[in-house]
Amino acid sequence: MNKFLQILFIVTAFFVIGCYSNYNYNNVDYSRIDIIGPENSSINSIIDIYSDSIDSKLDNVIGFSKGLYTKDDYSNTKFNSSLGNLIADIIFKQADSVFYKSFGNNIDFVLHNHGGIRSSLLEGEIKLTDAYKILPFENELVVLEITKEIFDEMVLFLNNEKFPHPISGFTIMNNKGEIDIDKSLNDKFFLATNDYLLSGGDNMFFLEKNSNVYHLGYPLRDAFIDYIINQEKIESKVDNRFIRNE
Amino acid sequence: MNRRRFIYNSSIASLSVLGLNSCSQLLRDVKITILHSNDVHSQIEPFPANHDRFPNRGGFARRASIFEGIRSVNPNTLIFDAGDIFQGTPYFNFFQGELELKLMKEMGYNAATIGNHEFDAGLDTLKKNILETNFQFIISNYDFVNTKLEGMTAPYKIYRKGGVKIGVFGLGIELKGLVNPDLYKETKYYDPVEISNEMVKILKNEKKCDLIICVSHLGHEYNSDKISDVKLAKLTNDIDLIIGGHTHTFLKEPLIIKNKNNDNVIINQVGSGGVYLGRIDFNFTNSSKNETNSLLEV
Repeated sequence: MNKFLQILFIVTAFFVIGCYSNYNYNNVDYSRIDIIGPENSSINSIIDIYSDSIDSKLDNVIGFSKGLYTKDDYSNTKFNSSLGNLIADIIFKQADSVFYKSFGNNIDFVLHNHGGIRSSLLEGEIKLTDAYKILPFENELVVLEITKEIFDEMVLFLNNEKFPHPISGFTIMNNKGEIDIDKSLNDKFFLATNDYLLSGGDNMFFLEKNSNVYHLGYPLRDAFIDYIINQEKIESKVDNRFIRNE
Repeated sequence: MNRRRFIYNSSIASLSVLGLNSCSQLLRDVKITILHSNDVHSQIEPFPANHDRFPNRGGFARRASIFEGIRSVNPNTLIFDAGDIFQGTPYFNFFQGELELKLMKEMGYNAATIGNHEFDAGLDTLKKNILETNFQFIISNYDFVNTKLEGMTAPYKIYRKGGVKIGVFGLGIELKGLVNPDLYKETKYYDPVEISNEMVKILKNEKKCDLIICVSHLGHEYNSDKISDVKLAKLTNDIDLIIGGHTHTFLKEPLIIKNKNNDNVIINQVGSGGVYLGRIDFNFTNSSKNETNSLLEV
């Protein structure tokens, strides 16, 4: 092709395409900014109006924690956490007493969700505000009557999860659920959990297959607070309640 | 502050989209600054000094100062949040999101998408707080028809900054199995990939946007078939940036993924609790060098 025509073609193409094209960026800079440094006073003055009214309510010391307990201190084999265990055991104790008073039965198992715990329990004084940070959700405790089949389905589900959901009242050893020997022949069990999971939360749809639901009218956070107020010191650890052979 | 620069070969694909209304050249170089947060979870104040992960870090008042500083240098700045603004401190339990939205409006956030925890106080309360604060939510794949939130959100928004047209749409996560149905009521969830294709068609082909941003609460990546930001990037075209949330993923720098057309998509997410802010600057130049380079590639 004639050189002149070739250039003309390119120049024309440039004008046609260049003119009608959108703008394009030709490079991108990125930075991750640490949120530190001076505070904006007008933002703080808005916050103050709100914080004043809650600080007075939530500043009360309700207990004392012997250590730092988190939901993240599990391993792939010891698939349970110090804070998860604490909360599951608290649900067991608190729900059991309410359930027994209202419905005349005892709790067999507890299931809570890993994602329902939102903050760590720090060492030292525990304030009311900490209870809100650890358990911010407005969930209530419910007790579900379940069969052994649902229990087994639950164990299978928990064993395949990415995060360890807190349990109490039974153990899981290498994908097998283990129940107290004196309960092992029962045909029904009472599982205490929260109404979020009952509604299909965290994909635990097996809970919908329960044969009965008992609403305790007892918010989870209140159970946590009631327990802490009645203990001199709070202590917990990772244990052998949930072992996976990975 | 760590800084990275990614050099792009401008895409051939973007040339195939003909924008009749963008015939004029940019008068000068334009830098579009995108600032973004996600999963702040009502962390209004900095984390306490004895916090196990982020002692003395974060807080809305500090974030506001940083916004102010960046905006005063570059007025062509847009600020977005990728959802889960709510839930995590007593501020949410007591005021149900009113303070978070009021502060975000005051700080100059342009918009946010809807995270699963935005439903936690119910649709009525969310509506009331949106109306009171006049805060903009952008969500493209939730249908709020027959719910209290009908008409309260936008499927997309177009911003014009320094002559550059920026199209923004929002994606939310599947609510079933994650949020109590009593909270989201009749809200319908639509497939993020299909909706993204629709949004891109509108924003790129019809509205001739120069930059397309997806503000997503889908989550960064899963070990399953579940749709995520990484999957979305691979399955779509013409999205320049996905601002992510939900999985509380602390990325040190954005991930660059090739889309269906083999163009780059930037994916970013800055953890949780508002301890970091993401900043992405798109540099547009007034010279035709960009287009010329592309033409030579053709």
